[in-house]
Amino acid sequence: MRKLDEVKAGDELLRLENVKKYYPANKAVFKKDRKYVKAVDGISLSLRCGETMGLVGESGCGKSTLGQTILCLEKATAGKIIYRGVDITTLKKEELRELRKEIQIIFQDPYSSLNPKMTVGSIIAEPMVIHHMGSAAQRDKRVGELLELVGLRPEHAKRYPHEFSGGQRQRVGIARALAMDPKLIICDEAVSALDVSIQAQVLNLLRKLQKELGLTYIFIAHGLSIVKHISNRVGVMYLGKLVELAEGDSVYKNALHPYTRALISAIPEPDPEKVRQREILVGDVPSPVDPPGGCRFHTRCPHASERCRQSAPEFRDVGGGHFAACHLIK
Amino acid sequence: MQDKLLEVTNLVTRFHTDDGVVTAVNNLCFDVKQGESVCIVGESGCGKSVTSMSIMRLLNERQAEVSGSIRFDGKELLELSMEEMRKIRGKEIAMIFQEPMTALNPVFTCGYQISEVLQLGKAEARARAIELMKLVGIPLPEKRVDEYPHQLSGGMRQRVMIAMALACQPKLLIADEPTTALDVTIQAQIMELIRELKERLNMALVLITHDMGVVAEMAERVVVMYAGDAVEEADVRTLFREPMHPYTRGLLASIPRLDTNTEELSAIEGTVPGLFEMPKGCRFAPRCAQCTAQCEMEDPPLVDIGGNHMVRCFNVCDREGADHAQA
Repeated sequence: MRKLDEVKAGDELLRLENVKKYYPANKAVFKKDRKYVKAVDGISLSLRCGETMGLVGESGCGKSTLGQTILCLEKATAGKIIYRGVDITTLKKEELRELRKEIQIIFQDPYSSLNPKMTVGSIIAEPMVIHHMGSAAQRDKRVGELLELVGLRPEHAKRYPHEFSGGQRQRVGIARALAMDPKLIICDEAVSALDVSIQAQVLNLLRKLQKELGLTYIFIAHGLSIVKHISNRVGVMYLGKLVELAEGDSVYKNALHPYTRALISAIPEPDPEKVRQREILVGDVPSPVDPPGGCRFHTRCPHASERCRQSAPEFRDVGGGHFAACHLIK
Repeated sequence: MQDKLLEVTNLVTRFHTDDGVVTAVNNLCFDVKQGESVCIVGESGCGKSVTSMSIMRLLNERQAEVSGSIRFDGKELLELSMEEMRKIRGKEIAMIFQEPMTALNPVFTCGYQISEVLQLGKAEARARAIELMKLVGIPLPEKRVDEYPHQLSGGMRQRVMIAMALACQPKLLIADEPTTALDVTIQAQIMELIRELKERLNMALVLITHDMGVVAEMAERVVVMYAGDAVEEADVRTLFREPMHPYTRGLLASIPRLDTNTEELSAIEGTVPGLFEMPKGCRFAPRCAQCTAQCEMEDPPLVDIGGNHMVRCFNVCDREGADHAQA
């Protein structure tokens, strides 16, 4: 494996340059007839070591595909994914396996992401077995440590996933992700399937682990309030593109893109006395097979003009590291 | 004083399973006035959906035992025959389900499904279906009426479900997590629609949800459920301003807010007890920070602490009682 750059907290850990992921939508023989689902269409961003980057958007916006592309579970159609100085889209299979020690994922559904026929201990030890780490006794010891780290007890290692509640299973998923001492963890809707009171427990756990182990997170979710709670920076995605990227607070207080503003105003807030001006978007998200030309949001945007229909706005820095893609922003 | 449209008293729903009898809903009491919207809120497994199924009598009566009293518009629903119940379902009480894809029949057109309950002639039924689709804001209803559910998006399917529910102009609409499967911008559209239609048609609404945000926007009164018990009931402003039960407080504190920054969320420790391992006294006792010996032994009653604010907690009721004694 090519040598990875040394990184310390605050250094750039991961950089995406114009990453695209297209899936064929038909089986046309001729190139001109081929259609693609443009799940991720030109995403560039940079992630510092030790930070949490939130990605938020509605279903079909490409946020999960982006996560899987970063892990090389899906091969990027175009663009570069540079992790610690190495473009990981060019790595060979064995090199990729080495890399997977560094980047791990926590899945949404704690029911389907754990093998029901394996004990929790062997689920957590499996990555260590694959990477030939330690002896059986050392692995058992490590499993015990990991279980304690995520708030379970070492004796739980002998039990099966069905004996646990949803929140506990998600803790098992977290322990498995931590087994290889990763630097970067992609949390793909990691708390979306959990009840609020349990969700808060898991969010607190993820924060605690980040502090103790110096982890970097990419936190993918559809709920803006959760993403903002846990993230340093938040990126808002719409139809395969980033439309806004800023510090968590300014995404909420100083939202520039009309889609972000609509998303915020659509969130029901637990406060019956708040009088709010609702911006309700009309219509549905268009299909990613034939995304609208120009700005992709123009079909639902209340401020769309002729220019928005004609040309796609550039994703640019509008001041102080606040990025947005909209013609209307000066 | 408005008339009570639905009065649920001492509703108990038990399921007979291979492993024994479980109580999913335990002595639930609440009522819904004409045109009022009541939210039942709680986490998974608290019995909120079973409550709605019990009201509609949709549970398999060989497995589920429903007792207590459910009075709707002067009729006792639990005493009606299946034939009589069928006349009420859809016509007087309609229901919207969470998952519009599984609740719609994939082999019939949307128009047919909407007008199925009306028993009109073909042309008339079609016209009425188009009218209803217009009412729920489906664009191009003349075209959509002949389409099948799979041709529509999630939000549109939920609109079709609402059109179906409204076909007979019911007096009461029960919506069981109607927006949970939808994206947040579509959820806002559907909630706006339900609220507007409720006003226009003067329906009462029972909304079942797990989302405190939805409760804050839709409800007039709120029933908070935990493990089959109603733990608190109040009007929506009181509940959010002065939540009394430790569970309600914990639930509200564990929601990440957009407008404030908190380092750590205050989570409720532990998990909801399984149906077979219900604690003996207060069902929330094992997770409650203020749990006393009394809480572990006895089941607290639901007590009105003033202004129609009901709480099921020894600590709160004692404190309130002491306050009253001093005053």
